[in-house]
Amino acid sequence: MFDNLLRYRSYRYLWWGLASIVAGWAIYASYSGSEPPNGGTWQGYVLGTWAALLIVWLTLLGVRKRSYRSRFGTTQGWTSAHVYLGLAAWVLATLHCALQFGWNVHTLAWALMSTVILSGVAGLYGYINYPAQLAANRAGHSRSDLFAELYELNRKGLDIARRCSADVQVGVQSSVEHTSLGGGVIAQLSGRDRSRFETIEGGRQPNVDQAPVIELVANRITRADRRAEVNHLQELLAILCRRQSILRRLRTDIRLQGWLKAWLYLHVPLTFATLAALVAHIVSTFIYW
Amino acid sequence: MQILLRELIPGDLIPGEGRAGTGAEYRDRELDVAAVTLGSGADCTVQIFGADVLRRHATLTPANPGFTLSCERGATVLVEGVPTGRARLEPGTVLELAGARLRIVVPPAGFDAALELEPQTKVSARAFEAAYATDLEHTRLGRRGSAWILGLGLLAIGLVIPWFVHLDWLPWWSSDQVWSSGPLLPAHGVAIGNDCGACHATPFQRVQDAACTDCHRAMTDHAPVPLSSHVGLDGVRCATCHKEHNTPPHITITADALCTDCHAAPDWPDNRLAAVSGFSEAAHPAFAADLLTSRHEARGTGLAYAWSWQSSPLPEARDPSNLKYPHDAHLDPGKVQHLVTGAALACGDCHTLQADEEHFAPIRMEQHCRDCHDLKFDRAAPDRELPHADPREALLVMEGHYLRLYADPDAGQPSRERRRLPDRARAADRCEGPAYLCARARTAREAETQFTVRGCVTCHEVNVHDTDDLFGRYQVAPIRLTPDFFRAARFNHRAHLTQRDATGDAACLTCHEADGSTASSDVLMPDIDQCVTCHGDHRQADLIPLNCVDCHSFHPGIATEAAE
Repeated sequence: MFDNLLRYRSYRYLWWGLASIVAGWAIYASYSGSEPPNGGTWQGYVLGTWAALLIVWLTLLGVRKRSYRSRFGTTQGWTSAHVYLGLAAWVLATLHCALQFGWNVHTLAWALMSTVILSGVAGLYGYINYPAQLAANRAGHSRSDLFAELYELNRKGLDIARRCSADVQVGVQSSVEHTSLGGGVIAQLSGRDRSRFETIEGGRQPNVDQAPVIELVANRITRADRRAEVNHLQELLAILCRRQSILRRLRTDIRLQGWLKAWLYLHVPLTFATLAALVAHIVSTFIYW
Repeated sequence: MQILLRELIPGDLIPGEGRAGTGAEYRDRELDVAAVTLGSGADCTVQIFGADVLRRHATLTPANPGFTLSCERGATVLVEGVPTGRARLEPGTVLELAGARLRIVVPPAGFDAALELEPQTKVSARAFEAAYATDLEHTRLGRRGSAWILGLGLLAIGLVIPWFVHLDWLPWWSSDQVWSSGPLLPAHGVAIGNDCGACHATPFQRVQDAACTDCHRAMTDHAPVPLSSHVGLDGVRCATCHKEHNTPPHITITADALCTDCHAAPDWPDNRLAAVSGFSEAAHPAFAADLLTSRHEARGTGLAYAWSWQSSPLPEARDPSNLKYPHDAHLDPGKVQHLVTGAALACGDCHTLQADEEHFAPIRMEQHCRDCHDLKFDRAAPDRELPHADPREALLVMEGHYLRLYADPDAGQPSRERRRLPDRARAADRCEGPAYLCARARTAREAETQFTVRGCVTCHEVNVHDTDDLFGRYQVAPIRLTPDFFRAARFNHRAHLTQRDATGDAACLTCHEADGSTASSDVLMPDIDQCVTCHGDHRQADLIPLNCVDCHSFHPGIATEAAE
């Protein structure tokens, strides 16, 4: 889909974006040297108006996406244009200000717009690269499938652990109860595993990637004195290993999904900040004309 | 705080195997915590899954005897079948949440509180999944809220607060500088500081000329006012051309288009200016000299002089200064030497560059000429000199000198010169008759010599009028040396003295051919052909570029001065 987004209608909007940039450069090249290029010349006004209208239109993608009954172009077409014209808007706005930067509301508007566009580029990178990684990680299953299997493994594991010695029972039950998955922003985006488990001697210990509890059960097998217990422990070990695999997939899934969406938490709020700064930029320019 | 959590684990068959499992049993957990937490989060003491269960749903704080129940806002648990958010729970009370049952029991010895837990028996996979925060939507990150905060915050910082500052509603706020799109010219910055209103007097109105002329009081118009409206300059504000707040600071238009847009084809009434489209012999007119020219008319016994500026093409230009001064003779070491060093005269001996590095200090007889050109008039009295620049006073000095010579018996004391030249001494001075008449006759003869043979007439034009009055007979024409032959142009002499092949006088002579000038009426100014050997406009990349404003001012005083 995202490949199609860029190639939409034989790169129609790529050409629109390039045409905007070329036209912007042509206007910029018309500076005669009477004064340094800046936003207050006719070239500056043309480039600035053009860039501002583009910014407003780019923002309307959020409205168009939610207007499911709209027949004003396809969402895919709008998104394709959003990408290419968004990049063109950066060039036009930069030509508008002619690289005259300062500690003022005007440069702030440019900086916010640049951050929005940069986050958009990051989002585009994610949309191009992460879906394939997500699909490979899930191996044809949905996230709900993985959670359902995890729940079932938890239930089975607890059942079997109850038939084992007390140390295994405590270790497995606590490892299930204290399995960490997802969580806060950093935990989701880093995939950090803060799982813990308890030993019968007391005290919680890290259970990163479930390896310590698996090791606990595996070591117990060699010390089991009843065949039935050995069977239970081997069955438990298989469940714990499967569980480890499911948890790994889920963590990867949460991490990639997180990055797939994280840019939006910059892109959307900063878009509104850019609009506000743009209003301040334009109004203040004419207050102090 | 020691809390006993007794968990009832029901006995059943091992799923999927069909063989007998274990029977129901208790599992005691001794907790050393301040409170027991219930919720779907993995960090809760008792993890309970369910669609309505919050990650941290409720807290049970020991309150001897029993517990105090405290649910999250909007959440409840069933206490004895009644949805309850907060309550005091006595031993024996039963709580229920999503199928899990908790009974408050009397704590055994060594514990501060105790609970019996019957865990959930059925949990849906969806409820299980919902127990984990697996999406950024589940975190504190938000898009809508931060969009509002950032948007409104930016409007406040970028628009509202500076506007209040502009209205002087926030005197404690430093300034409305966040609206400034760039630095001011340093001089403006020093004069104005952060007072935006000094120029931006009225909101939504362009900067008016009064803001500029408040300080730049002596600034002249580009063209006379009647002409301004004709050529489209009427209504053009100072700030139309002079734009502030550029980075780096820049306020003056330097492009040739500023001038050539109109001057390439001048079409205004009574135009006296030639077309100019750049700086080359083809694009720029030949230079014309500005000359201080005198007109004279008879008044009283003599002539009255009136001076005005006249323009003349360089080849025909003659400087009517009334001075007699051959540059060639003064630069010839065989004829003129420096009085002290004996060396040839140099340009700098008379021409001293002023601080503006364009003009030279005025030439003064006393300072530049008198060392050689003394004003002695009586060879027998070499210590007497005539005063300069005042013919009447000079005649009176002569008359007094001769009167004393004829009347005072001691005045004829021999001098060294008289001793050296005994035969010729005073031969011309012999006079029989009254001393006063002798003195007057002698003065008349000497005046004729001074004004017509040698003396004053050496350097000055002298008008001899037909009158018996000695004081009215000779009139020295006044001298006005033209201080600037190109008044509409700027030029830096010092910069041009640095040349590869010439230094000192040779550098001067590169442009001013003084060593070949026999008369002071020669205008020793170079024409454009001299300039274009080094300079050209932007179309000539191999030459030193010159913009119009490098030599000409957009606000020349002489343009409006001439019109007035």
